[in-house]
Amino acid sequence: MENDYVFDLLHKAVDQGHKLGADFVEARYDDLTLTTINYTNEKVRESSTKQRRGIGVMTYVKGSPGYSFTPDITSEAIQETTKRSLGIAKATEPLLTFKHIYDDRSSIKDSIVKKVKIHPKEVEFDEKLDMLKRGIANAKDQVDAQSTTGMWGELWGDKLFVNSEQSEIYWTPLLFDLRIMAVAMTETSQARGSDGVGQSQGMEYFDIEAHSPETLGTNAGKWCKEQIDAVSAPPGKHRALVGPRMAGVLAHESFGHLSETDFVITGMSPISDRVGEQLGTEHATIIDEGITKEGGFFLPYDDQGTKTGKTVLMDKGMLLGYLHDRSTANKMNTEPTGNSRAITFMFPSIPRMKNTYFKPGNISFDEAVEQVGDGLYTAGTSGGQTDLDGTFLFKCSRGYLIENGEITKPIKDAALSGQILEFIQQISGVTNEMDIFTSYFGGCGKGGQYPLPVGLGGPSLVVDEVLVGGE
Amino acid sequence: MVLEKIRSELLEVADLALKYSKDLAVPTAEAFIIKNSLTEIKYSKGKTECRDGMVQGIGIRVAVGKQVGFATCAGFASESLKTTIENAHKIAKNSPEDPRFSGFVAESKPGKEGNLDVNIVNLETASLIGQMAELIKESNIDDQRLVGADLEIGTEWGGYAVATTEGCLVSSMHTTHYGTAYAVTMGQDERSTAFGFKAGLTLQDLSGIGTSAIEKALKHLGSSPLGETVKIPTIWEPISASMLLSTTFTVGLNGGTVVEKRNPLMSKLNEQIANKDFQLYDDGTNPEKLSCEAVDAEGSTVRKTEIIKDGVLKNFLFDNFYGPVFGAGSTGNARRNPPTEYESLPTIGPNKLVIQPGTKNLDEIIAGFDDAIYIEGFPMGMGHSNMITGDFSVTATNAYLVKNGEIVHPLKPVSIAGNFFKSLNDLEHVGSDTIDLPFPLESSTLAINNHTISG
Repeated sequence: MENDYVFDLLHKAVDQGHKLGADFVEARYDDLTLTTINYTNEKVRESSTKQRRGIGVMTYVKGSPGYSFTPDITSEAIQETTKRSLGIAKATEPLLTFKHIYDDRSSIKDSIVKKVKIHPKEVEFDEKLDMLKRGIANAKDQVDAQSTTGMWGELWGDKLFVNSEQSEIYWTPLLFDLRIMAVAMTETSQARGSDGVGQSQGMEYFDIEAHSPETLGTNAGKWCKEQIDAVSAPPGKHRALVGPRMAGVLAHESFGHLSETDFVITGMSPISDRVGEQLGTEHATIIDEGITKEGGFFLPYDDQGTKTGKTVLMDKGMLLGYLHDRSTANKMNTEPTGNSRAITFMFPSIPRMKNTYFKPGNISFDEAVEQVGDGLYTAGTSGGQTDLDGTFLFKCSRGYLIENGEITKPIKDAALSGQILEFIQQISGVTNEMDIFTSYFGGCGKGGQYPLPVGLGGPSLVVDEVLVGGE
Repeated sequence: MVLEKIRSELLEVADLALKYSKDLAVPTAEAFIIKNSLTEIKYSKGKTECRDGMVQGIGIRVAVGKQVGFATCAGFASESLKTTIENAHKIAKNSPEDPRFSGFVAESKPGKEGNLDVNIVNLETASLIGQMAELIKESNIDDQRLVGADLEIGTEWGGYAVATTEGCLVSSMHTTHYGTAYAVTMGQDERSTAFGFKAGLTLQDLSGIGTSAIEKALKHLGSSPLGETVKIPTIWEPISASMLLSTTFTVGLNGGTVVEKRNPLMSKLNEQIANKDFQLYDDGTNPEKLSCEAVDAEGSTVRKTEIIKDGVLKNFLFDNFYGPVFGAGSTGNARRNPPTEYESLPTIGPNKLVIQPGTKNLDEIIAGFDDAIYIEGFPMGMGHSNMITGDFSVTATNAYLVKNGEIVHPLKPVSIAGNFFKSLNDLEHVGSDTIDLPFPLESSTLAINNHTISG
């Protein structure tokens, strides 16, 4: 659809909202295309394309927000949607004590198109399938795999935004994700290994050997093979070297979510009212950023039309701030941080993360292993979970014992758990590497909105004590 | 009336999809169409988040011989529908053949739908707001240890239709009303959280879910660390038991992964995999339960399937793709992922796994143990278990130490590790206290030996 036509429809929604009594209106349009290929056991199990196109309208009445949405891009449907949004905003107003009030801001007119050499949409299906086949072939060179899976996912399209300030913002989301997985059988169990990359980049990214399908496949096969003879992680408290992937998950799942101001402003987060306090060691610096040099998800604007920037949440252990939308920033007398995000037009935007990571330090990886001495190296993760009290559990899908300052035997799946505010007091060293990634298969989940593309990562962290679960 | 109007609209769009498929010379096609109205109100200490809208969309699968493509679009616009069929056709033509594909569902006899409650459809937003006001009131207790309670209530009603060029044209409608509460309490240097919820096909009395969550969160304050690693029995109340078993059973009973040779139970059919007193079946036909639909997400009839009888594995669950490959046919277990089901290809999942209850209640089970750990609520990390080996390691944030048949005190979060499949054999008790849960598995209290607990 032409941008001018869509902007016109969005302006009409804003105007109608005001006529019906709204104090402020935001109207959004998404037109996203998602493509998935699942190549399991060398057969195409899924080949699909999805079009997510629709409009969402958020209205505010005396500070009370109401949201509605429609996939019908017509004036009539948008009028009805605006009316529905206003209806629920008005009805819930008596329940409110927290008013969503914005400060006055200038109108923004901006258009940001992510530039890449080869856009995924220009590459044919066969070429993408061939990447999966090459990855799988390399995995099978490494291990006698009982089962293999290659997955390709891409998301791209247009996002348009208009609000009562007459802002008009257009930008183009883009991400791809390629994964190779292998499963092998032993007499008593099954072992698996996987590797993948997810970035907001063009297809030229795969020309670099470290990211090529061949390298990913080789890693998946190699890591699967070493799991066959892996030893169980000894349960109990250990020193650990937490690799970039798990460090990213920790920064995101445990600390990042606690920093989201919908939790903070109600006092539900354990780090509410603690700005200025020394919560972690001098090695703990945590950042949330819209566009990073190192990669991750490209996010120039959030879904309230706020330009994203770099938000330092924790600097050398001291809590500096939180992740805001416009209303929480106004309430807490600070600047919005561009963290109001929605997964699709079907959902209202809520405080969510951008690209969240630990800042690198100054020791090398080898020095970090030596510093751990005896403990665990957690290199890969299959994700984690956290509770609002700060309790976390993260699964280590690839890990190794560290003995006498050297990485030795691979360990079976182990779960690291603890309390994030205690964890960041245990960080005693940070490496000088940096790896940030995003994902199409998976992402952030909150309030029923899953999977939202986010970026996460960082360096490796030396941790003096973490609880490992296992038999 | 409104639901029947939506059913007619769904069937009309389904018919239109078949007509366009014919016009576009598509060999064979399947259309999955959904329309769901949802209203949700969330409240957290004076802050609200509300959504009111209609989820609607179409998923089209096209087969050219044994080449299959899938495409989806939001909404029912004619142009989008045509483009989606063309996209699915194009993808199918470009995809390699899968010799295992045996066609879409040809005919199907719809079963019973879940009980439909027009009171949910007719519920005014103002009434929902009134229910929320009551919940806010009951959750506003005078106790300084209460940090707050996040509350959510909502309704969902609508349905889906499935049509295939092979002759299937069926629909299924549903209504749901629910409420949840998540309480956070704070004591001396510790925080505790707990859930309360209620959900059903008919209008629910939501009173009590706020106070129940708050009471549980308060009860857990004053916790002490376990301080050691031990191997003693664990007792799981119905919600935590359901969480423990749901994820792994969902994976382990998947007939698709049996065919793909990566299912840990694939060689165990007709073998003893659980304690001989353990009975499990999958039932999508109970009209009292949230999971009840007339047809599954491919249009196949939903049924009741025996899964484990006297501890022996009797069946896996199948959809219309993997069932014929296995030689068993579909068991009516094709599911699509909510809330935008039209965007997902059918996958295999339970309709509602039900464990046959035993004879003892929770108190009687606890009374039978000298040393044990009692677990309430939602243990963290089951979703990250090793689905292949069955190894799991979860963190229980609401755990209690049991000594001499009594709960002694709450514990700081403990890590519980074990193997799911070993646990089925190590089952000491299945309780009598089954409750209806909006999860894939309905359990009563379980007591299991040989878990490793650290904390």
